[in-house]
Amino acid sequence: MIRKMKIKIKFFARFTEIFGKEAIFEYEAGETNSLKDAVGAFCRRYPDKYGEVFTKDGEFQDYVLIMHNLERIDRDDAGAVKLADGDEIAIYPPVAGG
Amino acid sequence: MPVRITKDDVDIAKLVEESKKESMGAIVVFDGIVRNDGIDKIELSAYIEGATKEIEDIVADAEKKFNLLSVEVIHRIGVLDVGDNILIIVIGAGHRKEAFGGCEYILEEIKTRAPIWKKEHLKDGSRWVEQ
Repeated sequence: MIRKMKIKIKFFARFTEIFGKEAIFEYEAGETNSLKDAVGAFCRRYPDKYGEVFTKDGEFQDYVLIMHNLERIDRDDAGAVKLADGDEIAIYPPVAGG
Repeated sequence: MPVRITKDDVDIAKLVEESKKESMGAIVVFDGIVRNDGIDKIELSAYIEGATKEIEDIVADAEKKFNLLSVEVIHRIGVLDVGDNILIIVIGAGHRKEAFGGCEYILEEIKTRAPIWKKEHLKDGSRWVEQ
């Protein structure tokens, strides 16, 4: 039986102007295996803007920050983070609070 | 509530009074305000759940590192004018060094870790601030 996955991807600051504030991304489990894969698959829907978040080699740009279920994730670890149905991912540029 | 991300301003004098405990010897207040860098207004936005969690983690670290007796952090969002309060931190500790140290630590960590952003509105357009 094919298992459907549904995750929420939220974008902030200038990324909202490209991808919108949030999206529900649905895919079949096994199609994409990690946080990096899932966000990559979503961003590839916007071919001309994909480069804002990912390099040509499919790595997160070095200014991109990531939260997974409210926990900060190192970009270099995003390929090893497994997702579960209902997870929430936040993708955002460098912060400027304070 | 020690961490709040809100559109509303706060009464800083009231926060100080409410923070006081007999064991405190110092209260340090940081009030970050909107500076006039040739802007018309500034707009702050946040990933509210993420920023609250991140600031709560920062506060928990600071309480241990600096032996703090009370912490209040209020970060404002929304459209603000020059001179408006942006970030208010009220720290109570037994001694001034702990209070100053804890306040600076929390401030600097918020600036680099909390998912909060500024967009400056100028007379001829707007721009995101990225540090």
